[in-house]
Amino acid sequence: MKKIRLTGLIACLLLVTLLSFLIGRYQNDNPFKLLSSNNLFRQLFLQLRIPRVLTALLIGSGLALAGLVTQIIFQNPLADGGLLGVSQAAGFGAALGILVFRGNSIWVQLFAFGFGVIALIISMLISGRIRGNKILSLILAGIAVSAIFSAGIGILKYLADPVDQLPAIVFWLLGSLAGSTWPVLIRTMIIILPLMIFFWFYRWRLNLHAMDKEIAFSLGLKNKFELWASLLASVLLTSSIISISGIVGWIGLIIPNYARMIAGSDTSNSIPVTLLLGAIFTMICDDLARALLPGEIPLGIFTAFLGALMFIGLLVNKEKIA
Amino acid sequence: MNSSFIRFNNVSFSYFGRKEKVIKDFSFEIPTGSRTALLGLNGTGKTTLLMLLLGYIAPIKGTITISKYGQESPLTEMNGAVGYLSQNENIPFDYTVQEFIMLGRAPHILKFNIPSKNDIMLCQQIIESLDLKLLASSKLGEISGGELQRVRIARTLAQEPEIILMDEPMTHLDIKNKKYLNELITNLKETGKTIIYSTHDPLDVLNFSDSCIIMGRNNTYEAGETEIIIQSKTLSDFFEIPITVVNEKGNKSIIIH
Amino acid sequence: MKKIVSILIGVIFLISGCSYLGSSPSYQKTIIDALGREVELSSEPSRIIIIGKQAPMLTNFMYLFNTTDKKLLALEKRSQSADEFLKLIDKNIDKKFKLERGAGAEQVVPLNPDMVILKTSMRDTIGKPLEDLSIPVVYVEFENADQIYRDLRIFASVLNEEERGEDLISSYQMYYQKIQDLLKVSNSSEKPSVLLLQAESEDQKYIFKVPPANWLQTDMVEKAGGIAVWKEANLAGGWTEVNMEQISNWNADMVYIVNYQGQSPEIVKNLKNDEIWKNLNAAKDERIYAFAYDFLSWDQPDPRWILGYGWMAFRQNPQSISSTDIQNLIKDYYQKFFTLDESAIEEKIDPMVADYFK
Repeated sequence: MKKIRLTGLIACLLLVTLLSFLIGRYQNDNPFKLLSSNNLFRQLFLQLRIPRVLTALLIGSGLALAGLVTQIIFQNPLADGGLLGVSQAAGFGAALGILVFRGNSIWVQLFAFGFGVIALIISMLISGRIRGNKILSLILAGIAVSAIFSAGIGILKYLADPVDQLPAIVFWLLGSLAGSTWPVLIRTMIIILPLMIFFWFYRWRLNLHAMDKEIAFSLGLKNKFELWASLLASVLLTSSIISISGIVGWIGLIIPNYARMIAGSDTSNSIPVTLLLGAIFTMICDDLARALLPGEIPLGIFTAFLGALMFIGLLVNKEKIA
Repeated sequence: MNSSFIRFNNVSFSYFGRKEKVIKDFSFEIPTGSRTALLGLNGTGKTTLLMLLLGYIAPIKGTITISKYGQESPLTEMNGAVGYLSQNENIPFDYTVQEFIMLGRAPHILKFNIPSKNDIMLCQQIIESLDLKLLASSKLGEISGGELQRVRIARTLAQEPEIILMDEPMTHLDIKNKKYLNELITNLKETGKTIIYSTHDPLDVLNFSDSCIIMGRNNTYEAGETEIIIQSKTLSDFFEIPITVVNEKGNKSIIIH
Repeated sequence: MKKIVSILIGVIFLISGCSYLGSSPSYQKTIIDALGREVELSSEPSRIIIIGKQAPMLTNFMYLFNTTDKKLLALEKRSQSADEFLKLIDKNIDKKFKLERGAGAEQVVPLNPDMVILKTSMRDTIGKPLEDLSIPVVYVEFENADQIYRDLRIFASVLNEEERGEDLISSYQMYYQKIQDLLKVSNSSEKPSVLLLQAESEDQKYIFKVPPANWLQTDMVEKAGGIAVWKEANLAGGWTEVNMEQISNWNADMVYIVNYQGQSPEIVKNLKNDEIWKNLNAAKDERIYAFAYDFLSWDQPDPRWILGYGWMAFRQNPQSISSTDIQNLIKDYYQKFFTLDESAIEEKIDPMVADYFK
């Protein structure tokens, strides 16, 4: 039964990927005919469309995975990868990069990534000073850090040139894959794939983090090392994705919940399904973002809209979210 | 016969930032392969004692050791061999019974592995031995409280522990489940495991436990064989109400006045 | 007794009559601004401030008039090239008070202006607070040709230079008509499809945006004899990003690259070498053009709009309009509109603009 579901999802992924390759604003004729005869289309297809679809696939599964890991670690089905203020901090870093380096994208990426990690460190330092439940103190610290960087983004928006910088910041804060090319994809894969591989092998033991701490201790989780390692890996995953796509919300929140609905709560089952669903969902959203209208629509708008619809569906159909 | 003991050597403990010691200068021995009950009013430090045994917290003074064949080593060095059943457990995600029990195998599965066929087989055996076969695919949210307790114990057993600590395992169970659990504990003891559990039922202690530790206010305690400890005067002192222990030709009873 | 009373009454009348005379130096004017508001002026504005969105362009429009340099009190800090232009036409520009970008009512009030000019969209944020303080505020729009004429009249009224205002308007209309006449000569059945893109450079990539259908750029492209390919997509709001697939799908005969940092010639050069752009019709026919730019890009609602229009008409109809036609227009324009003499134009303007006529 499990194998059939998984195979079905993999087939779905391949199908959606293929369809995504066939969708785009350049739609004159039969794509297969175009590939052989039209050089312009071939260039567009190979240089822009394919890397973009693959980027959507990658960040979709990455964000969904980070969301799942965060939910397990914080024992909260409503968490997502940006919980410790990582999203807001990365957004702040990107806005800073846009203001200071005039939109030079390498710097924007580095700053976004760097500030995401800084948010984790600050949250850890603050929570270290709070007595009591480690997890709860991390959440509280994260709320504070998130608020600070959110305010920081507000300040940067205020300082930004309304003509050229502000729209770039706003577009970035809503998330977009408009700049996807092969170099960007490769750069992203270098960081994201090792992290995903780490979690792939860790996919069963991750369950322990969902247990009460004393129980987890008795089952072998003797120190905080695995916790911090998982948390850091999740933050790196989220940060590095945000640094290329901007803040794309809802994927980390909703996909793991659906994955659990399909595959159960055991992370050795829900992680594969999360990766597949995240990829499928994000590819569909980006297809809409880049092809629905002549103008580019921020990706975050579709992930929020469709994600919220899915969330409502989840609430209505289940007594509890698990 | 039994040359193996768990020893508390002059152990003291207080929580961080607090002056008053929850546990002060505790010294006692628990023979391995026995059933030891932990008695005492609420707030006397029973859970703290279990936490110390688990190794989750460390004493500020003294040591906790296990001696085997005359060799003493810190209890904390027994990895995964101490199983723990908390009083209440918060389970934020809806695992199935067999998924949940499998988690007990964690000490035996390498960090980057998934459960093996062997692990699966072992869990199946435990599920059967605890009459959980019909519930194996049910979600935790769908089963009753008594069944959940059995599932949690099954998880602890999957760990293949040598020592099992339980914090008030009987407290929320009905009579039938209590009896079942009691028999289970007896069976476990007979396989050589050391069971240490806290309870509010002196009669149960009197009937079934080999040794007991009774904890009172102001760091008082008594520890030793049940027969010696469970006396009217001792119980009355520690529970602060008049209690009479009656032992008529093997029929034991406790009268609370 | 009667005498004393009547003298007292007479004195009272005399005093009140004098004070009445003293308070109003016979200046009364009502201006109707772009929002249809009636603004009452009791004195000629001589401490004028322009702030808010597009303040630089509004300031440029005001500098079309002769008395602006004396009456303009403060202006917003702008981009470097825009400042260079103002230095050219007003030697005393540095003496004017400089406001920070994004300055609001609080920064303006201490300067004690007697007139504040704002775009209509700024009413809620900056305008209303000023109105509440009884500071005269006049709103303008300047978003298309008709609005430009109307709002120039408003400026003329504010500056008491009605004649100059009419002069400017009729000059604009004359230029406009001239270009239209030249266009009529051309074979108007062959309208080129045109794509206007604002390009921003990001690392090694460019982001391209199209303007909304109802903006000046779109309107001018069509009036200059062309089909604005992005219009049918009906994109509203502000500049909208379009991706390369969409640009390729349109495959317009001509592409304008607008860049507000003056880098459009370099961008066009890079695009001509780009693997994907090479395949576009406009690239193959060598009809990718850097949009003309001297101190500012000519595509905006700025006094230079007419130059932008003329330049576009030239680009879109090279067979009926020559570069000389437009270069003459430029000379004439700067003399008439900004009273620059020929040598100044040759020295300053021509070199900046030469690239865009190649």
